[in-house]
Amino acid sequence: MILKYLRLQSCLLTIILAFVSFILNAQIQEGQSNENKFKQLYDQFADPNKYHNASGAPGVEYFQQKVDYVIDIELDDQNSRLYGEETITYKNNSPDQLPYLWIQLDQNIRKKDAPALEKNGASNSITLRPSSFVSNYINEPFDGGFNIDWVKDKDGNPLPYRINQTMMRVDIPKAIEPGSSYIFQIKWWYNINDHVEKRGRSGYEFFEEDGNKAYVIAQFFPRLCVYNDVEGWQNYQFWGNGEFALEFGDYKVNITVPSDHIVEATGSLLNPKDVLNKDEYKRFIASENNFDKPVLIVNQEEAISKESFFSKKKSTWKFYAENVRDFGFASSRKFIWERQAVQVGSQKVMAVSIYPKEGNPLWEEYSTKAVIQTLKTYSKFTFDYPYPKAVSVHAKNQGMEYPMICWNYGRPDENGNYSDRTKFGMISVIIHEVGHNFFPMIVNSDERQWGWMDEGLDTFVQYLTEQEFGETYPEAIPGLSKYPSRRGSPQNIVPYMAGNQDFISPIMSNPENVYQLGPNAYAKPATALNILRETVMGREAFDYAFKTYSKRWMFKHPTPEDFFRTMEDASAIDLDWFWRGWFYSTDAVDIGVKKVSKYYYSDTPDEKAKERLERFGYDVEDLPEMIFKIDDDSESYDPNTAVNYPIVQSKILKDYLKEEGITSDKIPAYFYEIEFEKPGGLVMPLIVEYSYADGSKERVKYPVQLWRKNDVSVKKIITSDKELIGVTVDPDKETADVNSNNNNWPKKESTSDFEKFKEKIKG
Amino acid sequence: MPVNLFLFFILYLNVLFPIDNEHKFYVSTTSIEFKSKSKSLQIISQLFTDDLQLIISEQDESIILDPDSDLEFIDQLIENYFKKNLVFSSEGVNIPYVFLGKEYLNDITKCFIELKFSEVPNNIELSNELFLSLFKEQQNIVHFKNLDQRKSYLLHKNKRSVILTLGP
Repeated sequence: MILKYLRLQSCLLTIILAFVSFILNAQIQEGQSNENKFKQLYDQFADPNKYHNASGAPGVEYFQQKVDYVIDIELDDQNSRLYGEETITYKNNSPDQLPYLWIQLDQNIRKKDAPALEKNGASNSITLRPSSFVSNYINEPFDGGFNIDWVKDKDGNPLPYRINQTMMRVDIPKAIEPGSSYIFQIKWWYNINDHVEKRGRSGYEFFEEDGNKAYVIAQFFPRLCVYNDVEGWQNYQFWGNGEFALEFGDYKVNITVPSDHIVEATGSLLNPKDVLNKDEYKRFIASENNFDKPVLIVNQEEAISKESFFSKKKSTWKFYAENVRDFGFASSRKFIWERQAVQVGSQKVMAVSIYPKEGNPLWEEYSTKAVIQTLKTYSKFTFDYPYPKAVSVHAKNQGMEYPMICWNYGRPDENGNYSDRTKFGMISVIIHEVGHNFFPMIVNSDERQWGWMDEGLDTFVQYLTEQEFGETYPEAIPGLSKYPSRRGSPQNIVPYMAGNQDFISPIMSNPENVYQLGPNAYAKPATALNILRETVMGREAFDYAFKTYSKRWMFKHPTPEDFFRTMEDASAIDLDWFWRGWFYSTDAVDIGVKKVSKYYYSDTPDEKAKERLERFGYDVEDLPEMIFKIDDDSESYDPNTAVNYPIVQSKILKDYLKEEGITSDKIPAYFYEIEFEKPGGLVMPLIVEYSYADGSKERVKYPVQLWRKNDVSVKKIITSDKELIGVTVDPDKETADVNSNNNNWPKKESTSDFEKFKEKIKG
Repeated sequence: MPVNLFLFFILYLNVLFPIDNEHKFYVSTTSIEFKSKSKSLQIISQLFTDDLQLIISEQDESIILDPDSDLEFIDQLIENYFKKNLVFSSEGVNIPYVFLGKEYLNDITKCFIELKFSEVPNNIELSNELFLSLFKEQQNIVHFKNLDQRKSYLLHKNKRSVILTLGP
């Protein structure tokens, strides 16, 4: 067999190498630490423990606090104020005694003296628009933030409290013992901001034409901070970018509003008969079993007729929600309201949209459709949606999520015209925000610390959902073969990952401190997961592991390690290299083909081989029968031989093969050595397409482990009975390779976008 | 990174936006490649179509981009806007260029510009004021490829121009 000869040759090589290394060892070399790209991730990971185990699942002593709220609130529409009184039942499931409680007061980021207002440096431009002049120098700061009237225990005795920015410590007379509950009450009010003018995740939009406001209200009540095994009491203040960490509990919320308002909220409406008129109530009930299309509870005409009459009467909408981490609601007399039933697994869910007439004709066409697609696709990839409803509320410029309810942008112009951009923007934001029900409303990661854990995972499933939306409603994407997803596909992340390293942060960063939050917490993790699914793990392994993670951490608080560990644990694929590269570093993929050389075997050594043998004192005559590799840069190399039939060059080989009974059809006609290079910092599987002279092509996917002993370049031998005429790395552009100039042999000057455009306009 | 730029980043990029969902980031990217053979610059500016729409609407409220309500007129308006806000000069003299056109890609507009030198100067100054009049948080990223060298610059309202060196 040829092998035997090759082995002999490699023996010789080993001797030579050993000698060389002996010489080198004569000087003392500097040592090194493990910088291998495949090094175990123990240095980055928190140790597994009894709360978060090494599989990435909740440990045997995992615990979680439970916080139940009963809240009475009143919306003062005229003065844009919200008044509330709440009773909190705090269940201490931790093994620790708790001497005090920490409460989140997120509205305090709108206090006149909030430190968050000063978190950024000033700019002083030489040019200024008049409107900027007004906002910079004349506008009074908004008088926002919670006004706490009192904090009392359940018997009405005042409790001392101390406010530190957006958090408040309540001092209780006696520590709360493990396993016991503590009940207390808070009364507060605050001024509601105009979210269009002043920004913010909640507030109202003012409609000048009719004098109405549409409220989307959240972070509106003092909420318990999280106490867990990772942070103890959550202590990262709300600075504006890092969102929320919250405990689960049951909510009973009574919302008093002008009687002509329509209210939607987290949870089920307990008293529809009290707050709806007869017609509305009938339609409300009818909608519960209407699976075909939305039922309008309030239609556009009815909504318009209410706009000019401001009711002085009040009504109280009562909502109840189980096992949610937060509560949000929307209220206005301008709302059009539609509901449709959807079957998700064994559960019936109400898909709901509410919007002012300004959202039409876009909203009546697409909102509920987008909600339904989201419930279906997300449930397929995670778990069946467990809540009774999902509401999409139209609010200008908003895109924000709460349990069972979210605010979404996308508005046509005054004449009802809208561009494709507005339409797809609106469908995408609805999918994204309704999708947040899964991450982080149910798989409840700590957003204050890790924005990507919900935004990245959500944007990833958003991509899958958008694609399925395009398949379900082809009429919604006329002229396109698939839904134009902005984020998720590998090529779309290339400009970011190829960008200036000074302005990029690793995904594993706190959202307050990153340079470009959009690509950092949304697009890059979403793309990384898409690549993991399509290219690294394969769909089956990925989907099983992703589902395992989602189910494991339903209604619990996972950490980044829980995600990373579960993906490995449920797939038997070590991904430490992937997390290290994609999540803990800002490296990019750049893999290419460096060199392709032909060779054949001969009985006579070329100069290079002779010289080497001589250098180590060997005489060709003394060696056992041996054949010699002739590379295409050798003086002995005959290009005709290489192309025609290289094996005839070696009589030794021919004889041997004959002796062994190996027929010529088993003998490869062409030998190639291909060197791949990796200028990029990330390791990735090497996907290569080989093209042959007869027009055939062959795809090979070399495992990522190929790079474990040489991070710079690696060689592969290709033998074939056909002449190799082309090598392409990453032919389908599935790895987010930031430089395609080195992806082809022979080198292909890829036509630049610029040249392509010039060609196009010429034609 | 120079200290002032670094400070700018620390202090500035986390603009007052809530992250919420797909929040808007006010960024444009202009990629410039110097082609020594043809003595020209090939320029692609990528802008958010929403931002461009605001600029165009300032001049004519009835115009809608993507799909375009009036293709030629829109191209003319964009070209005018570019010629005022993306200016190349050498020794204080403006160098004219040709606005080839634009294409839409999802929510982005790619504008194609070609600048041909009669004689290649050693240095040129690029002044990039795209959207600075509209958004105080606007960042204009410039990627410049000179032969095989790549450089990136970040421009904003306090740094509106950059000197580019051409040739070896």
